[in-house]
Amino acid sequence: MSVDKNMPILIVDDYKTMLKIINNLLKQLGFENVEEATDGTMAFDKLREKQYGLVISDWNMEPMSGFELLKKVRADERTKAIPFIMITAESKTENVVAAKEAGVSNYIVKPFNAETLKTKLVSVLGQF
Amino acid sequence: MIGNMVNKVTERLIGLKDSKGSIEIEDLKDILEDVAKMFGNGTSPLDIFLRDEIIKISNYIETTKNEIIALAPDSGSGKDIGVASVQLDAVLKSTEEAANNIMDATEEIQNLVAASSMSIEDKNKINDISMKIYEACSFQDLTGQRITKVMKALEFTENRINRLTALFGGDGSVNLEEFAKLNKDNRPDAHLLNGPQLPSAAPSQSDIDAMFG
Repeated sequence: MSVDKNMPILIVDDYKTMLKIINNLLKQLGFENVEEATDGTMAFDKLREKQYGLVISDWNMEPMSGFELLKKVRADERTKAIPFIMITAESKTENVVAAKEAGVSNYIVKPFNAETLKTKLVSVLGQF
Repeated sequence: MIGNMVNKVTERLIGLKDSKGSIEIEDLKDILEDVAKMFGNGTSPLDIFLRDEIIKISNYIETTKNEIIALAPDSGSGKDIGVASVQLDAVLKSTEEAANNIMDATEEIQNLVAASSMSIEDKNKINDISMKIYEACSFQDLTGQRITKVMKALEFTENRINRLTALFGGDGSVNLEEFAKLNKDNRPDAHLLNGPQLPSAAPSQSDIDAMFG
């Protein structure tokens, strides 16, 4: 099954610059329907209002972190199946293990490049 | 004589504790000075030795107190900490602005290229270069996080100095509960929030990929 490049994607980061970078990289890869949130609380509100095809989230945000968002997403019937990629500077093994146990679909360490993002998207969504 | 002196000091300490609820550093200094006086003009080697030692301790307390008060945020070296935080905040804002300007300019170039009559090959080449510029701009996120960590450390140091200053008789306006609140991260996953790690102290992207099979 081919990937619907028009599916809504939610990107979550408290750094506007990073939101812009991810947004631009996604555009370059053909994904135009991208929405933004600046922390877990804002993101979860959006996720409850609308069906997204993918969440790409930072970890270290306030008041709600990306890890707490991941746990909430996985605990909610309406959102638990949404693919969730963590893009973060938290690169300790214990972080990756915790995120994996919480149900993260893939994990990207900052700084990252377009190729890494593309590889993870393919691994989570399938070839596009 | 020593036994009598110990009794007097003990009585005074108990009296202070009862009347003030606690014994301040300044009280200890006063007590030591009084003890030194109790030796009067004794000329035995022990009297002279004890008197000198007590005076040295008292002077040491005074010097330490003054040095700590000098670290207070509104004094010379204390001001430097506040200035460092402000400067770092300015670095954070200007790098963020610079990164955003670079990305806006890159986007404009991409739009011009898209609308131009260039060959598809050349357009793709310019798009690839643009992607590299966007990737490079992510430096701001990491340097921003590192600077924020340093700013939090400075804030912690400043609060700590405030507390010490208060204990040593400087500005006594420090609220210890407020202090504790300022330095506490209440997020449930605070114990996992220590990044960005130094490259040598954390697994690479390939190591992480291996964990996902």
